[in-house]
Amino acid sequence: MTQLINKAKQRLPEAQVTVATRMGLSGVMAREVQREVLWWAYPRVLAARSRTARLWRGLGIGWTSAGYAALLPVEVPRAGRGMVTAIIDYSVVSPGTERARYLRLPNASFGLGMPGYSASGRVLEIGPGVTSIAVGDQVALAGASHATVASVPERHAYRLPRCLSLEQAALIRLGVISAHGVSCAAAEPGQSVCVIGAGLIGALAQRIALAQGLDARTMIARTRVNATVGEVGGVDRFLAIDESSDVVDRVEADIVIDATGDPSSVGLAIAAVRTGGRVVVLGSPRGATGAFALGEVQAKRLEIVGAHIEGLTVETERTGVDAERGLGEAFLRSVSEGSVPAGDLLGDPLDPEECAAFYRALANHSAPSRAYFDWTAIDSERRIGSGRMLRLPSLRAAGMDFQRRPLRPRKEFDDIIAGLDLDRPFREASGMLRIGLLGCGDIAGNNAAAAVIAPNTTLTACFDPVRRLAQDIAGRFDIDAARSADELFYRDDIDAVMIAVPHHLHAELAIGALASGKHVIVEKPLAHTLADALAIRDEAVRTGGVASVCFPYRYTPKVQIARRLADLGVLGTPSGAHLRVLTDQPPAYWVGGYSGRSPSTWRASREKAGGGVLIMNSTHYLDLLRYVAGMEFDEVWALADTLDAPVDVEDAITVSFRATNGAIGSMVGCSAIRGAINEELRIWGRDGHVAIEPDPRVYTLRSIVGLHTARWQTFGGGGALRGGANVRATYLSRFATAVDRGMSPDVSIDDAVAVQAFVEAAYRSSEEQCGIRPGELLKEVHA
Amino acid sequence: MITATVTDADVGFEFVLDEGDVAFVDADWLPALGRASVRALTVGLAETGDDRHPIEVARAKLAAAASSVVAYVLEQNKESDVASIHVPGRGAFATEVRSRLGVGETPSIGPSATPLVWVETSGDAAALHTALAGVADLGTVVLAAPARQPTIEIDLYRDIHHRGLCLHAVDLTVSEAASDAPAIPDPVPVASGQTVPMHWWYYLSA
Repeated sequence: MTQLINKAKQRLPEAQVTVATRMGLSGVMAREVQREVLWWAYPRVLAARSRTARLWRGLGIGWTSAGYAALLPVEVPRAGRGMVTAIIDYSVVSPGTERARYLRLPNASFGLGMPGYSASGRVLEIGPGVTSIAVGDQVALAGASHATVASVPERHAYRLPRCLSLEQAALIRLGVISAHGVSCAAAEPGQSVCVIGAGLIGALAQRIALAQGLDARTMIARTRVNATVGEVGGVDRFLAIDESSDVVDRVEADIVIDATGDPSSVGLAIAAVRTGGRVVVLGSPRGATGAFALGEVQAKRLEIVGAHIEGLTVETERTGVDAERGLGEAFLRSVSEGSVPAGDLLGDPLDPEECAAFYRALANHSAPSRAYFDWTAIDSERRIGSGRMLRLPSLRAAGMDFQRRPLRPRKEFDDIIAGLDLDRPFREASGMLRIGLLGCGDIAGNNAAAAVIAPNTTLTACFDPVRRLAQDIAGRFDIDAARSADELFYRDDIDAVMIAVPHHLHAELAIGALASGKHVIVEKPLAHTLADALAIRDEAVRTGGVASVCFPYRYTPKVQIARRLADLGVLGTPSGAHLRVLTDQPPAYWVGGYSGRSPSTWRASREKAGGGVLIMNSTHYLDLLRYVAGMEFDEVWALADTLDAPVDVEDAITVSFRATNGAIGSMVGCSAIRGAINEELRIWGRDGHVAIEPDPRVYTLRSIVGLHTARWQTFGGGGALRGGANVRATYLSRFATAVDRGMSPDVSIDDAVAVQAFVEAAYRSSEEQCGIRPGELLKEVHA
Repeated sequence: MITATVTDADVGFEFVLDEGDVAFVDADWLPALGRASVRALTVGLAETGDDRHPIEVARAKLAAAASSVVAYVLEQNKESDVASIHVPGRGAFATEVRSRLGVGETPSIGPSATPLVWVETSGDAAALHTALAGVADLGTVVLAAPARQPTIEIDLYRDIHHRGLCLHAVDLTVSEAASDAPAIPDPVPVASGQTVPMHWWYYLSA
């Protein structure tokens, strides 16, 4: 029977996931549903045991599945017989134990994924039979997890002695563990004690031992990083193993307390203890000790003593005396009286909203070795409330999967959006820029409309060598159809020329316009080659004209919000990006563009267009990578080919790149995908992820007002990025304002050159089959 | 170098000793089955002098070590019944320890209880793991035989830390004078290449 039950227990979690998957949930959602069900059932079982039918609700830290952490709703039973419920102000991280559990290291129980066991707060209610605690008391709570609310047995709740801060009281359980280690040493006053490990448990054990009259002034640690902890604790001999391991043999302590939790450090302890001495294994060793020096243990006639806090429970059962309670009370008293200094051991307060980032850092040994969660940072409404016993568990797993059931941000997020003033794109418009349109092909209609919409631009004239195209635009927008490009360059009623012609003509015309004293806006890309792009830039510098490339996607609301999110720190340090541009250009595209208004074969010519899907369709997005995440491209590797259309530009390309900050990204583009899908643009960093295409989504481990942490959520409007008239109008208006105020435009000529350098580096990489650095390419071409 | 070959019924020895030396092997120092090198208590001419038989010297040494073990066990176990002390083993040393403690070969605390103290007299890694698994939480395993290997694999968390166990290596090199009269029976004499029936301990001489 027991075997059957054990087998069922083993198989139940997997069965739950299987059922959830069959319900249509993705794997990560299924695991979240499993956690939700367990967390739903657990407080109800506890409530039944406590004979109470009511629950509190609050927030708590949960490990949602292997390797993930989040701040989640929790429920705890209201105080039943002998129980005390408290609202938690602080809970201390036990780094070794929590890291081991979080990583599911050997000998570390994951349990229900509710970390933490040492906290402090104020009593909300007491159950029948509770005599030592009253409502409103400040209490230390042993066994309370990292959450805003906890119910614990009365024996685990300690009313605070006078002069003890709630922050220090939150060390209670760690204090009991450490004191238990010292008691297992069974030392006589004056005996020498050496503690290995300068973490929280090690430091507390050393200080408790010293306070008990033991000669506990030697500490061994891997490095000298925590030497100050030793100094504060009265250590006068701090030995760092990374400096010299030989000194350990000369310690010869009567008792060595190993507080590291490192299975291999027991060897150090055996070396450091004198013959006939005692080694206390206080830190929980995670994993097997491959070569336990039994021979040396015998040669030195040692005692090796295990000191796990569970031992106190066994001892209590055997003796009838609550040993744990006694150690807890003594610890709090010692801290309040100052004989065990603890203020420096608390470390930094952590925002519980950022628990996911913290546990990742803890796993990587990059988190502070001492830290505590400050629950007072959570607003009171979310911190505590009445739970509903009859609530059903939520099986939605909202926010767990990028594609399914993202959450909506909280309403505070609206304030962030409102601050962007997206409804008033022309709010800062000034001046009046008179624009001449050079090129009246496919995109000319959009450009002309944008110039009309923008409040500080006006359209004066247009030119196209195909006369009917120029007359068409002129007629639609009631402007002059000029007879030559030169006419646009030399007219006094034109301040800027907007160039939208085949790519190979950009440089000649832009330079001509700049040389004539006009400002220049070039439809992307800046040119068909990097050399031409640099020639335009040089001419702009020489003439003082303002030049820019039309990258209007920057002004799409979702891009503006994404940029704001990046500025708020949702990404942390950017570490990667992915861009996908998959289209299906019909054969007609190569001879007449999208509209067919202007038949031409320049798009199919490498010499004229500069390239295919990369330079033609992807430069907007490359600009967004730079604009949103500040990525500067350091190195590019590419494969490009023409696989489908009878053209000499590439219709398939993949690019891998590294940014100057070390981020690694990729781009795949193809213009011959049958049943083309769409674009994808996503940027991620150490702390978060922003997807702009196809659907705007954000996921962050950082505490950002209005955003849920560690959950996918929507932002901004949907729909693909397109250069419609409104964003083009915003672009033109911002350009005009920059010209008016003598400022650099939002899209500077250097921005345009940077994108051009990426494009050229990718093409050269594909040809030469090696990595190309855009920065070096720029120098080479410019030379 | 002493090699023993153990079968279900008997044990054979092969050995070469220095001139004048004799050696004693406790039954618990033998492998459970098969052939292996074994450690031995060697008694040299200098220890016997003119008037002491090597068996007397060896017996006294074993008794002294047993006395040391018993002294430790009783000191650490003042408040508990000796019935909670388990000294498994078929050899002379384990027998002597049991005799001094007044306990039987199997603990008398009942089948459902686990001993608080487990005296390990073989030095064998597997026997040590058995002891760690068999002793009660917060109990003590007394290492009362030199380990056959200088290091062993152990799960410190599971085997010692979590259960609050104490692993204690007693001093087995105490002088004979500390011992009182031993009750250890005579060993079985055996020559190299000879096979003898199972016994408490063996007296190896050229």
